Amino acid sequence: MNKPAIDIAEIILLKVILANRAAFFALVLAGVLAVASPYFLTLQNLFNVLDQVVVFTAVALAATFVLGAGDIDLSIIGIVPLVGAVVAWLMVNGGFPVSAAILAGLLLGAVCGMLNAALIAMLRLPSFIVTLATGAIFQGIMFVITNMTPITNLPADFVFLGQGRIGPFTIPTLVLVPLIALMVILQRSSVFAQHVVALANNPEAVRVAGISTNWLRFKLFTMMGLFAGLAGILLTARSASAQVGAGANLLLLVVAAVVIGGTPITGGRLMMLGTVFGSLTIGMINNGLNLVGFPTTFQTATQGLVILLALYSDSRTTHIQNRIAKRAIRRELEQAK
Amino acid sequence: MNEESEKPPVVTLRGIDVLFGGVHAVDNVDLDLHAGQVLALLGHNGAGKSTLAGVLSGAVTKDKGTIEIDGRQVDFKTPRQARLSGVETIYQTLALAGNLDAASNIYLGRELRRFGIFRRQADMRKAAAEVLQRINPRFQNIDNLVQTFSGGQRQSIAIARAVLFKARVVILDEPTAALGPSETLLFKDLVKRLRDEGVAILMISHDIHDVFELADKLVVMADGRVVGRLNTHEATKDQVLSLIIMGGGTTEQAATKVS
Repeated sequence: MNKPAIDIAEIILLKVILANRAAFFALVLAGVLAVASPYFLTLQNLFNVLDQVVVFTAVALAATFVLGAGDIDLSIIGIVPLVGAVVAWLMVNGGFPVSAAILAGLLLGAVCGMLNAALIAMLRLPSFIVTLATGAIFQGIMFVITNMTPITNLPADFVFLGQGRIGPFTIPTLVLVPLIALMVILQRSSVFAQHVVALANNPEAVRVAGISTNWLRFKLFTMMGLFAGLAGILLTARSASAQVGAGANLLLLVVAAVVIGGTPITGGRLMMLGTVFGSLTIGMINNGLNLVGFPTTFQTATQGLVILLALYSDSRTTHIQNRIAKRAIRRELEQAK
Repeated sequence: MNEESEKPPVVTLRGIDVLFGGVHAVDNVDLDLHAGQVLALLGHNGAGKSTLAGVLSGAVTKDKGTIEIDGRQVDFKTPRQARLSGVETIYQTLALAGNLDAASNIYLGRELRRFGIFRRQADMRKAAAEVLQRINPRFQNIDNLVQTFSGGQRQSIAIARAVLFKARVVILDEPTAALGPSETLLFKDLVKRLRDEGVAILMISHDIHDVFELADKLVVMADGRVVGRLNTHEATKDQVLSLIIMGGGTTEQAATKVS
């Protein structure tokens, strides 16, 4: 029973690692890749990794809140290509200036999110079911607009937003950084974030506290739609065309980034910086597989495996964290006596 | 005691009717709650006591009747409106978010804000710690998540909410149903503190022993009607039990009801 101080030091170290497990995992992975390939640690390659993860990280930031609330938005697989197609169509066929088309695209994303929230509230169905359906609807509208062919010949100014650089950074990377800062601040300090995690834990407590769960979800899904819209615009600009198949593997990447980051799939906890490191981890895995000469066809299966691994390790580490917390309380109680 | 009851009541319910699809869940009920007094509502399941309390807490919409708080007529459509008028409800399930700490639960839905969207966490923690210390001096480690707390500590949080927001009226819905014996003792102590702070308390309970220990007045309901009003110090448990069982009628009436 009479454990020495080493025990406490060990626990503190363990606690720090567990609380930042995504960052820890990303660092370890970076170390492994640095050893495996001399090319990995070159600046050009690191900027390349950053640039590769921008689009799904933007979606994953908002998805952290949605998953943190115990909800999910499957309709991003429709919102992203729909916004891309509409923005491209407005510029190419509608004669819209670039800025107006972008604004319209962001607005469309937000409206798609509002529609999701309204349907969840009115039909009283889980977000899983509603967004499964609306995702198909958004995708279907995109098929009609594009007639299943990519929209190309986008204005050079627009393409520059996706492919241009300022210094070593691509413009999408520079767009992402302030968004990360904003979302981290929201997660740490906002009343909204508090209500979101409470909703996942005990919706009844949220309701009797006088918080409208419908309004809370409205904010959540509108934000989600807005970020998905932004991702659709960035994706279209990067590939210089609105692709019909855009965002097909996005859902997998987004969920993987959030879950690897430490936000549980059942919600109740938000790990916004974890999501960023989760994204980097996925980016590095893909990059590393390329560097060591694995065919790109292996990437999707690897991502699936990593999700499984992340979910399993999350359930284990949460268990360990709870045990540490309980032990600390018991110690405090014993000292109090 | 007697001086207290001569002061005007904090809450006056008059002629309250609630209909659930043609059934009178609450039938023309009058009720007064006084500051610093505990009134217990007793009765079978379905007697209408929870529905009546729901009218006061804003969870149930009344079909007829008036509610006055401090002489001003009010009409609650939501629990939030009731809270804003100083009516706080402590639910049987306590309705706490286990993944938030004590202060965050106390302030849930009424957070102190900066710039409209950010939490003033330090201010909330300080005020919450003061109130918790006052109502439960044994309360420690308030920064831990509520899911690690005992039932008694959770009760303290729910009651701290009422104290912190200066509730005039507190509704306790089956407060001891989820507690162990030692926690029930702590809870009784908490209720007495609330009462001594001048709060009017409406308590719904099945436990006749709790009721006799805590309540100043007893109101027995059956079939949506009030069938008995007693002062606790004049009443006997047998008398109250027979009111609950027979709904205020005679034994013969009860027998005909059964057949």
